Amino acid sequence: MKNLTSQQVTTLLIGSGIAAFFTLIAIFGPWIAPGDAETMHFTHLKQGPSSEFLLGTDRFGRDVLSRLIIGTRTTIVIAASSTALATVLGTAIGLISAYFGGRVDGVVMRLNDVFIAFPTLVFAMFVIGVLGPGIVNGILVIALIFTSSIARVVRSAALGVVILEYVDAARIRGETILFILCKEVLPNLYPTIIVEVCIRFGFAILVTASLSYIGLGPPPPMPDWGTMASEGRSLMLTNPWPVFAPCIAIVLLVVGINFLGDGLRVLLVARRTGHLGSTA
Amino acid sequence: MMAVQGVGNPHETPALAFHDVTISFQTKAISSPVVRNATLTIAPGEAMALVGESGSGKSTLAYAAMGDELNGARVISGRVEVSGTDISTLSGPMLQRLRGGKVAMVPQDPMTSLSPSLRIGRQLYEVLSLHRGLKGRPLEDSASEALRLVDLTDVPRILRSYPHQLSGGQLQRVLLSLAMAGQPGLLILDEATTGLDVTTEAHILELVGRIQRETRTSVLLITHNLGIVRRFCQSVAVIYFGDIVEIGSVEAVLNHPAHPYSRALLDCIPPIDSHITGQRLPTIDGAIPRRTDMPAGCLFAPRCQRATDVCSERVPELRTISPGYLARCVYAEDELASMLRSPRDTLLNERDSSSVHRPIPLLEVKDLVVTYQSGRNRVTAVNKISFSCNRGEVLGIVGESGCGKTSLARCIVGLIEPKGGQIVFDGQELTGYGLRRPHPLRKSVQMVFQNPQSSINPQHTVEQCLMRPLVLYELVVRKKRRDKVVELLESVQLGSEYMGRYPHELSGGELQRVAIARAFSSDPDLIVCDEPVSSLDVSIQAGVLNLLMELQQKNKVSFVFISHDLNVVRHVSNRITVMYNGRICEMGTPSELFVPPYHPYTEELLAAVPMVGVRKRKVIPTGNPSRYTTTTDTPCCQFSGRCPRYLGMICDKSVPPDKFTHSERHLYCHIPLKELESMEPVLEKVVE
Repeated sequence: MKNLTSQQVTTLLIGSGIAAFFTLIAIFGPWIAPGDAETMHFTHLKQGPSSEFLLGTDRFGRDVLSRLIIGTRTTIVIAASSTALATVLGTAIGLISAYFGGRVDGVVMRLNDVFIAFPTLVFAMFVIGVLGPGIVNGILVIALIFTSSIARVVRSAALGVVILEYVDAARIRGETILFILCKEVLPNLYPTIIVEVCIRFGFAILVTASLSYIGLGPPPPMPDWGTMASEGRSLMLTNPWPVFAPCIAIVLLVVGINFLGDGLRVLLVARRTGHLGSTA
Repeated sequence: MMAVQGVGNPHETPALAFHDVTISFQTKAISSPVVRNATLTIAPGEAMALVGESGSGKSTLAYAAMGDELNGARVISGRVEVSGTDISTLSGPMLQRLRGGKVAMVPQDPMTSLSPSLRIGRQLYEVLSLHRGLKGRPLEDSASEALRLVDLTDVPRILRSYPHQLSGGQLQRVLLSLAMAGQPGLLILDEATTGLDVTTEAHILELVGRIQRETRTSVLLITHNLGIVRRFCQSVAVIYFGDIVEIGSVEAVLNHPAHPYSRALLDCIPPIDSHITGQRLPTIDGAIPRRTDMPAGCLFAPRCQRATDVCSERVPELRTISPGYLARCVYAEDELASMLRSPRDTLLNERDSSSVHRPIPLLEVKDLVVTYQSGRNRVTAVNKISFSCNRGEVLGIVGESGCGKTSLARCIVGLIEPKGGQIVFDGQELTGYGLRRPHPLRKSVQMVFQNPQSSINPQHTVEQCLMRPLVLYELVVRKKRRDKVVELLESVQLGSEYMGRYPHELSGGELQRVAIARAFSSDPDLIVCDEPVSSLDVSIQAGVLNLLMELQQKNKVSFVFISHDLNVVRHVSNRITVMYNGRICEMGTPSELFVPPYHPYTEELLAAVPMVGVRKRKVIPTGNPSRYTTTTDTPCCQFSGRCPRYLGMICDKSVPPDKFTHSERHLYCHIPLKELESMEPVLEKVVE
């Protein structure tokens, strides 16, 4: 910490604060929420904020604040687990591709290109069409979509590391490929991976929202931020809160996670190289 | 104004003059000086060398001469004059005319100094039209002429080329022609030849010398290599941590330095004379002080053997010792009086072939071929090389970059697979590479790399780095591993306090010591050292070399020691192999190699290597490097294209025979042995 500038410490603190805040809400949501997320108050349709409903109600008269709080868990679970899955898969693919190079690299990366060229939502609709909608399938689809981009980033960062002499030294020692990849190469990529993960996490929330919007998200009436935003969209001009509230939550969480990632990266870079990297 | 150096007319306006110049980094709170009170003058037509370790402020000084700020270091007091003009009075456009027009610089790295996306011609036209106002036909003509001036052949092709299409030597020539294009009065070479091969370096310096004499251009040569100073410059300034500590003629400074620092630097260079090998090189103790922790008195005092209380109390003046000769030391006269060089301690054993009793071959390489794919072409890096390295022996391999020495090293340690031939280690043939090698063999062959920064994982502490081989090979029981790591660290003269440090907290020299400890940790039989000291400063080089050789003798390890530096290889090796273009030219003990008969390539190498303390034969035939041929699989002498003693078709059509039948000495050449033996020796020791 002592190597960081005060601005970087602030970034780290804000980031971790926001992340902790949302994590707590995700865990304790059902106990914190002022009301029930699914109860429809037919006498209070499309209301603005009031003392009874702090963020107003949507067109079915459901409490926006309660839905927002309850929906946090779904949203974070989907985004976090899909990002985690994508990171593990993508890192493994990227490392292997960079280390072996040549034909392995060529095949893996061309497959990757095909994947990236394929429109995300078309792919998602295809997979969910086959597997059926649901949280688990949603996670799988988003993870698959992000795997290729993480693999690409990890590969290009790893390419600069696998040629270094300490990797040669490990090979001369007779280390296994698993050891070289995990202990010699991977730790040098953490700063890059962290940044990529944070960006993907933000996108994961947005993709979840998109999937919900085209009706392939978590089945209703279970609330999640994306579904909330898309449901309220048609009445946004007269009843903005059901859209604004989840949007603000998404922005806040994504910004917070990126702050956290940036701070962690700087912390890692500073500890192991003695200077503060400006970019990954 | 005082004329400091003995060269040139003192009444002539100097090409460059520094008057009491202090250059400093300015941040909000602090100002830390990089160069303090520098005073020097360079007369028209004079070549002055500026010598010092990295971080001593050499480049900062050079940038100040161009009115530029290196990394934001500014001249805060004093005056910099170029041809009598105080450059602080110049405005933007006038400064621009000064740069390139009056002062020009040739930087160190040609690859980053030329724009990769513009053709050479375009970059040359720009300078010519800016400084000479040329256009159209005359512009093209003078561009061609500028390239011809620097001995480049095939000018039209070079004008059309992009930088990546040219070799390092060609690029450095292009940079030189760019610098000369504005017809400057002062040429600054900032380590301009450091990255080049010795022979290319020699050609380029010769060229600069010719230009300097013909056009009376002054030259400021920044270098850490004292050898090239002697050959090329008339005067020399030695700079230590921002202070010019000694300034005078080359003869004075290099033959009998008055400042202990200059003497120590000279002593660090491995001696070329054959009787001294196998001895410890003197080293400079300690390290350059930190900027935050400046000594009160003489900056060199903490490392100086002569230092007394006086030295640490006040800063010594740069004072005149004899006309045109200044030194910044209280004891300069005493230093001059004690002309005897400090005696060198001997190592445990005298290093000579005879010290390797009853040679038992450890490593045998037979007809080894290494090829690699470069785009669509297959390049043969190592072409049917055979040699052996005995137990406890240091086998030096010397050659230019691209001669295949690194490919050879990587093949021996099992990083790349040979295309043909055999590697026999300890009677066992090594097939396959890396993990496919049997377990005990992996342990017994280790490697020390050139660049310590990239050979140790920045994510691991020193302890983790040294612990790993112990764990992997299960050499030491778990409880004693930590003690073993401490022991290893102590064997490379580092304390246990280094255990928890990360590589970025260590200097280059310390890192290389850790890398050496790692190589020795598995108690190997063979260590391949690939340019282990090339990236280190001279003063640090000596310490690391001493350490390597001490450990080698103590542990009875064999070394395959690869370097482009003939001085270093000469110092450490029992036998030396000279490689050119993937083939062995000559092989023998150092004493055999340094006297005739020479292979023509060895002769050229010896002539090109900068050395201190020897006089060289005046006339040395040199081949034309532009006749350089790439490796081919057709039978021929690889050196024929460049050979100054080229015989004719026989050299192009058949593989040269070995002139010796003796198993330890080889010389592959078509020239009759009689003729080779009658060559005049290249080196002659200077009797001091």
